[in-house]
Amino acid sequence: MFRKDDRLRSQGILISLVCLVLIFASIFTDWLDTPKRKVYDWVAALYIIGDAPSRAAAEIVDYRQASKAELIREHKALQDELLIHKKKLQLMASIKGENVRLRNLLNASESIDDKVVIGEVINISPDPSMLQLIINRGYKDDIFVGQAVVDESGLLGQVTAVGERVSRVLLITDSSHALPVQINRNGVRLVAEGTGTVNELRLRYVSNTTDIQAGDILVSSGLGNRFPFGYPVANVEEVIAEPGTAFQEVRLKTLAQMDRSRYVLFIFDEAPGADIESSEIKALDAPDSATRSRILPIQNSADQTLQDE
Amino acid sequence: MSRSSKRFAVPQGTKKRLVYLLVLAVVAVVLPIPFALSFLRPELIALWVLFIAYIYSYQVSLILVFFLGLAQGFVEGAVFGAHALALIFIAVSTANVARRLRGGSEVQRLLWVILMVASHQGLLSWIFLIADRPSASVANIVIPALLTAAFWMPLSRWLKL
Repeated sequence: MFRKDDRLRSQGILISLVCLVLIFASIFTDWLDTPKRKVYDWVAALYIIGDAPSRAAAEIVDYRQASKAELIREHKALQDELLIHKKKLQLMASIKGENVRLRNLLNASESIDDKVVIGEVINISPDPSMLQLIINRGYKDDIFVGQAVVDESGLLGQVTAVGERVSRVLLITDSSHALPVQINRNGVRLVAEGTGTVNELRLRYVSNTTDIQAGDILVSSGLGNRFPFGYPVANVEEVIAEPGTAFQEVRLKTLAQMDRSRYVLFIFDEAPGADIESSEIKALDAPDSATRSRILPIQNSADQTLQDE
Repeated sequence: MSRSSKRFAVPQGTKKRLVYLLVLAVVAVVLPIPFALSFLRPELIALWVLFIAYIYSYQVSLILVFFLGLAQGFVEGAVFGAHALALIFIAVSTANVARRLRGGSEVQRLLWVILMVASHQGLLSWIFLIADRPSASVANIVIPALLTAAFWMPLSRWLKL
């Protein structure tokens, strides 16, 4: 009895020491990055299995709900939307031309259209303390750590780990995340911090004299060279100015749909490989045609935000 | 009393059910839950370790627990080794008191499960804090512990304990 007790304890201490070594290696070194990268792809299979029931249920619901009349109505709505976007695009062409002329006047370099890869969210992080998404794109698709990720409405987050065919994206609302932003209306630069709540950001140490008001749109400022300039980040939901305090408290609501987006775009601020041309559409070996990865040129969203305003 | 007579006789079919429970626990780890509700995810892997430590006491395989913890760390994308350490802590603690727990009441066992899962969550939170992760709120420690404990009684009946 005593021996067994003793054996278990000594074994426990020994394995705990191994765990501690692994923990410290994981936190303070990059020794485990390569094995982690290999394992991410095996884990991705588990995520796909875990996601299968909800995906199947959603598809069944979609299939059952879609009547012919609804499909015709949806088709009509999409055609109308396309027309609106085409009109906006025409307007944007003239604004872009004007922008180039103004930049030439200022001797500034011409802004480069960003390129994107489309990915699909296959799961979310099971750890409640981390706001992370698992996406079905990895280093085979030229994804790299630190890459900015957006959805159709705004900035979503950045890539923190990359496997062969899967990557993890840390959302901008994670409490360990902060990003440089600026107010679109007046260009005031600030730092938006994650709160740990899925759709909320906050601005700290905003001086009482700073010109900021509810409804303002914040875009990425491009400082720090992590996020490209001009992507819509959040709008100001509430500005709380307490009399007698030096700073205002500003609460923001993200424009990207953090907990709803199914498809995301990885932004290539600089072309990751020589084979990427701005006009190229590159179909990669995606699991299904709907999620085929494409590298497409997209217009920097700042112009669109300006137009919307 | 001989040493063999002190051993807890594992009921027939329990081993097979433990395997099913492990599969269920792994599925529970990867099951997509909205961010806002993710603190409601029960810690079924920790519960599974509690069960095997409770059933096998000193015969519990810490190597198995270690690899299970490493696998969970990979799946959750957490600090490598953190889950393994937390699970080893649960296994060793529970194995040491398994006989007393078997002789105790259901309420005592439930309290032990809550204590162990809360310690597991607290230990993970502390390690994540070293890795610059935000510290878990009390709700993130207590709610999973209570939810996991809620599974203890029905599952222990199903495992014929």
